[in-house]
Amino acid sequence: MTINIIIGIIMILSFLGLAWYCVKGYNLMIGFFIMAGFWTILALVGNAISPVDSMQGKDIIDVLTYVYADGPAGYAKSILVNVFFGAFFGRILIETGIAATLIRKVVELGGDKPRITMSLLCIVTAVIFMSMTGIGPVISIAVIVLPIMLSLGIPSPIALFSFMGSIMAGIFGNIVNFKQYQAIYEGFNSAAASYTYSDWFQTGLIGMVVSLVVVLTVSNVMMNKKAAHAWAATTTNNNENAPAISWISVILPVVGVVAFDLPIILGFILSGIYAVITTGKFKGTYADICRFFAKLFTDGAIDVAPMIGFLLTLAMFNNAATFAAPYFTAILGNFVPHSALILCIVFAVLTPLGFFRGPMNLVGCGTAILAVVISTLPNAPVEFLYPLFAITTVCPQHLDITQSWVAWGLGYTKVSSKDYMKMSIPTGWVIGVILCAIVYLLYGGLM
Amino acid sequence: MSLTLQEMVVQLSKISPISWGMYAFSRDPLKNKIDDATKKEMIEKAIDCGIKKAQWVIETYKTNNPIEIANQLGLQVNSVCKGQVADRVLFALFTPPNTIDIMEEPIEKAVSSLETMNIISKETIYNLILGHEIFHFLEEEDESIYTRNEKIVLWNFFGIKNRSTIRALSEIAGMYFSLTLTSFVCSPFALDVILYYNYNTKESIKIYNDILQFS
Repeated sequence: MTINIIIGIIMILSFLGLAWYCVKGYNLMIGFFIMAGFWTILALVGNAISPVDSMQGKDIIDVLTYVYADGPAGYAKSILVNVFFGAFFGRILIETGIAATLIRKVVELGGDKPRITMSLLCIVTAVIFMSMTGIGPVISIAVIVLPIMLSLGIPSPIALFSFMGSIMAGIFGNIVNFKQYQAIYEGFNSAAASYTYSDWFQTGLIGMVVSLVVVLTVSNVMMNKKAAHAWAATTTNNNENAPAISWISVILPVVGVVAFDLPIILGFILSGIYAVITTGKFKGTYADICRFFAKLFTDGAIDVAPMIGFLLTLAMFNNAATFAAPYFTAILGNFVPHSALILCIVFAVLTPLGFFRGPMNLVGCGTAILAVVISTLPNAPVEFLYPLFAITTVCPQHLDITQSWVAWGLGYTKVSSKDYMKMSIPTGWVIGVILCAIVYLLYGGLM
Repeated sequence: MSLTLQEMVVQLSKISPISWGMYAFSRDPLKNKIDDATKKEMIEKAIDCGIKKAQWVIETYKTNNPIEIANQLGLQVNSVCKGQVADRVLFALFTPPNTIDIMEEPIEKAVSSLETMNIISKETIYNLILGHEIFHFLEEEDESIYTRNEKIVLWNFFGIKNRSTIRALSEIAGMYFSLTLTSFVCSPFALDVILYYNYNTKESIKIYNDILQFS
């Protein structure tokens, strides 16, 4: 037992090391690859001294295969295909001008009223990111939305924060992200396989609305009572509007999955074809059309390429976390609450640990905590536990400076990390607290 | 063919006030909500508003020097070590109630360029920018001013109307306020080209060509 505790302590210290690594802005793909290796070695050493159940019947090659081959292979099969088609669909919304048109129309609705226009822009951004994926589409939308906000006199830290916050809100309803976290959860609890996007949809929408309300409240409170005036020289972009009939493309993938149980990839493809046809881009010879779609897919793949590398090493880390679980359980197992109320309170209080890829974040060190919680509470219903982990992942992660597009946005707007985090961390925490309370009210009775 | 800054400024000095106004509208998010004839009427009124406000200031404060006017009005004028945000070069920011931030970076870039200094002095750049921002302060103080009262209806839902002011008009009036104080050879809007030139020559020429479209 002593060796398990010592290894558990070393693993917890490595958590802190990873948090420091993230804050310093080092490459996450390499960071998680190193962490996967470090934890695997620690687990092998621990097993050699005091055998554990998770490695029973496995030799070193089996362990290495599970971490470095099965992990990425499983991830590719269940998640990456969705990421690629999500990115493809995102490119279609950009290239057809649908996303830009929606934004311009929203500004025309709000007019020269910074608070109203900012709110409308955030709502439409959240809706757009229920379907879109990847840093490419984020940048494509940001270069339209952020200059508009700045020209309305909204200070750049608030403009950036509200924009990133609205993307985070949209991610609560994003199908690709749902699939990603569900696959991670399923790796530790096979019951999650039957938990579908439709099951999550209600919680996701609540998460989206609560996040938007909190982000907009914080943004409005931080803004000056009267509008500022900025004199700036700008270059112009293409201003051609997409026809109104094409605008619904943005939500079609979600409608397809929720209303018609369509597979998500087919949903992306059909919605994409609809967008291309209704914007008049479906023209030319067969070869021209093929070239157009091939380019959209290629551009989409490029958009998510850095993320793919990271996700594959994260998959290695997730599988290494399976072997690390006994050591975390040795230290933390007795602290995992068994009551729904206490679990919700703990998740609410610890929401900030989802920042910097921390231990509450499934796209970070959180897989180890997930393993501990599931091994301690094997009968905890997915409908209750998944939303808790999703909250402490989606909310901090997509407001965090380790998120690729947030890091890009800080450079783009020249906002300091400090100014941004003054808003993002408290906001993320408040959203986490509210949503954990809602999860308790909705699903606490299932526990 | 690439253009020199000098050549562009010569051409820009020939641009009519209405054309400068149309250029300002081309940067406004509400540009598609107003027809060209209405825009021209609005531009004339905005120019008149800016000039009259400048004349009133000169008469009231007995000076046309923007720095002295800012002092007499009790404005807090700061120099900020910033400038470019994305592909947008920020010259100045007025934040109510009385703070004006003037960005040092575009001015310093201009000062370090011999080509720019042959056309315009540092003092003129500073005064044009400060004058423009002073207008925004006076605009906030005067509820009856034209730029705060000219509104368009953005939508009408069963009698519930959303009316909005037009930011471009405020900018146009601010430019002619500043121009009246400083007597620069062309509209202060020309700074968009002149100051952007030291960041990105190609994009500066693009802005110049945008302006020529309206002449």
